[in-house]
Amino acid sequence: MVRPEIIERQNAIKQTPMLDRIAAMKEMLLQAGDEAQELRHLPEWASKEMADAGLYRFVLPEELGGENVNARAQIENVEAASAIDGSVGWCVHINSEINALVIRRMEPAFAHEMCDDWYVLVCSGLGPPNGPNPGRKARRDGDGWRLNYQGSFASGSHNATWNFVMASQMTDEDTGETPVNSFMVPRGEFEVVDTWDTAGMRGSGSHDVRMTDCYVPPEHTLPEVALASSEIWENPTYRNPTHAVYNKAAVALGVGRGAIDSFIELANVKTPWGSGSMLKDQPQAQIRVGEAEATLQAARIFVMETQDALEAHLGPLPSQGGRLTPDWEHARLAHLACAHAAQSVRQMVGVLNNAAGTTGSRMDSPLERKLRDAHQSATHALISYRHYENIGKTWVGHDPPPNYREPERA
Amino acid sequence: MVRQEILDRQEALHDTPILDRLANMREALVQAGDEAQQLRHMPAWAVQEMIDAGIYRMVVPAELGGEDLLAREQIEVIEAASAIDGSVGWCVQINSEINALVLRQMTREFAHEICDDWNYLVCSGLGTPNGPFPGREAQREGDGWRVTYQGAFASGCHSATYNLVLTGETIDPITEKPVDAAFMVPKGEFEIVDTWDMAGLRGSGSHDVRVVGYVPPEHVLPQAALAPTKLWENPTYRNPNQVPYNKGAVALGIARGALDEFTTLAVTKTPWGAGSLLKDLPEAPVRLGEMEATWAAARAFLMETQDEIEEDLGPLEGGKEYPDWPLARRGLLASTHAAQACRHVVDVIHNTAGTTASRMSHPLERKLRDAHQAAAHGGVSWRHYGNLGRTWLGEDPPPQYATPTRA
Repeated sequence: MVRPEIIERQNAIKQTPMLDRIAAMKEMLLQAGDEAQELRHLPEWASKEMADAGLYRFVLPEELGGENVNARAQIENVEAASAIDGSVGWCVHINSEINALVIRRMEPAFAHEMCDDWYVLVCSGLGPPNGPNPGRKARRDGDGWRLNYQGSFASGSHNATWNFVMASQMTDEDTGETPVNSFMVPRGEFEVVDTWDTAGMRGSGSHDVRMTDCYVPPEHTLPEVALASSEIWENPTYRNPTHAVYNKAAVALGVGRGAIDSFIELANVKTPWGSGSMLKDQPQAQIRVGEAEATLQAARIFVMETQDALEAHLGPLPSQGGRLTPDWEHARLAHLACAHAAQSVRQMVGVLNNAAGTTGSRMDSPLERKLRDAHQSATHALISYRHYENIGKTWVGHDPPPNYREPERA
Repeated sequence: MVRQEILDRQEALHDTPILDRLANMREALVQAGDEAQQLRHMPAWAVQEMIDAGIYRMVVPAELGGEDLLAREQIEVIEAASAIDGSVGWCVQINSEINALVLRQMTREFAHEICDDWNYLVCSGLGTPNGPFPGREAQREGDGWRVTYQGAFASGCHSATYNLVLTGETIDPITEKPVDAAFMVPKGEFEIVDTWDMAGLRGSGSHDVRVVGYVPPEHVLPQAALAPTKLWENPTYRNPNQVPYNKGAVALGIARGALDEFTTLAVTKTPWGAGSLLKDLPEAPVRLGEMEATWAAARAFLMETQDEIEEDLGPLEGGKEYPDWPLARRGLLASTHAAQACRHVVDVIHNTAGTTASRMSHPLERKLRDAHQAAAHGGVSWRHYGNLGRTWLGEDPPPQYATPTRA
């Protein structure tokens, strides 16, 4: 069971609203973001301070020492962190998200054991492995399993206490089929392979993780479809098929917010060479910042409203009269809003970077990093441009792709 | 006079068309671009190879050992270089351009002297100086001037044989008015101040240059140093669009490179979870097709307007000093449109490529930075849509559109 001291610690930090906690950490998170550009992952000290402020626990149920917040509050938190620094916000979203995703169908005893560590932080390298790798195989070993596995995009891996390996990404060596379990592998038993050398979200540490002949005891296994809707936890997030999707949109919205704020700050001090007046007094700056605000706010409200509607539609746990999965009409709009947010923000940040002039390209200008980050978040497969087609075709008679029913990745 | 051996050397180059010369240098230019990302300027060996291929002399008149190309051909060369690497292409455009701009009002004698160096390469730090600087003053001293100056954006400065300090960029401390002269400052008499730490066109070496010294009278250019020439036949030397169309050409080249890289990627990449090659996913051909059209339309607009302007300008004898404003306006609009449209093209293509495009090892990563930087240049920035648009609504064109005021 999660010890009372964990619960008490959570209760104590909750006295300050999460958004105020993030605001109070702004300088620290800026420094973390800068260091992360060099390290290509969040520095350990910063990840610890973020954990201390509850930034990875806010979706966890209260009985596990979390804050149990709904989608709107999660989005606000992720957005606020991302407005400060994209990679910081990326880690807030993905590690708070995976912390929650893995307990959807986890035995409550294991969930309690895992969350009894205040610094619980689960990463997940699920993408195709980069470079030489040991394959992606599992085989039975007594009551447990033995894994040889490598997967990419394990954001937050350097500071993770666990790595989650999903059954659908592996082959059972004995049957040739997908294994009947997914797996939780504790720190020390997975290796970080340095493969994350990107421009966007450069500081997120989204390297590959590798396990070599790694034994997973039965108590660390999860059901095969580990991320299907929960019948255990009350918060509709645990049944929401767009949890991993709206979180990415929230990062994009935060990067967009930060870009507008940075642009306004610049416009108040910059006189573009040869133009004879301050940027803030030039019509094209005024036009473009107005259009950017409208684009951002419309995209944000679309995400928020579809999530509110989806949660209301899901209602309480099925055992109390609610739904296990949403109707497609609700899920569709929620998915669409998330892709739209990411794509709108990418375009909007590109325009603001352009309106800022050469300053937007200076390595010491916040707008330089935000351009990279806005592009990177908009290429994440869960909110990429491709979804316009995948979702759009369901309005003209095609069935929705099955992967929209439940999360298949973080 | 330019020596016969310079003319012979140039003549020998003509056996191979300039676009073929560039194509033959492709591997070297790719390597140069990679090294330049680290150095933040072109490596000296690469500049020398480009000089030896006549790339920086392509606009210089034939009598000065140049190739005397027209706008369309200049654009093609810059575009080809920029498709290989943005910073390489940037240096090709700006140094070939300034090599020509400074000749507009220069005496024939000085022009011959300056071009008699095969390695002739002029940079110009004209922008607002960065950080502490010694001021921007010029004061009469005998027949010459004592100049104290710093200016930004001196692309190609590490290999430059001269730096141009343009009219109006210095103040006479006695009269407190802008100085009515421009100055050619030779290598060794200007200092490079390390201020170019950018994401886009990172390898262009567009640092500040600082000048503290004496400029003799023979290195002084007239007040309107970049006004239309009365000396050189090529209409480029009277075209007020030379600076913007060159920037438009860089943007077109970067976007061309991005489209080509995407096509290469699309036939080999299977996006994670997509189940088929990128080329077979519906959004890839749709977006590629739309962006190819956007690119080709922008390019055609730029080319056609420059052809029109050159035709309107006609020959030196009996032709025009300035093109008609409606033509100049179209040329300026086409230049801005090329830069802005190409930024959009590269943004969309980059997005369609997925995470691959963000990897530091992938060409699309650099092209995104470069496309944004090219579109932010003051000569082709989005601001010009408004400045030009207002002239359709009754306002007079801003005076800087008549004569180049910067490179």
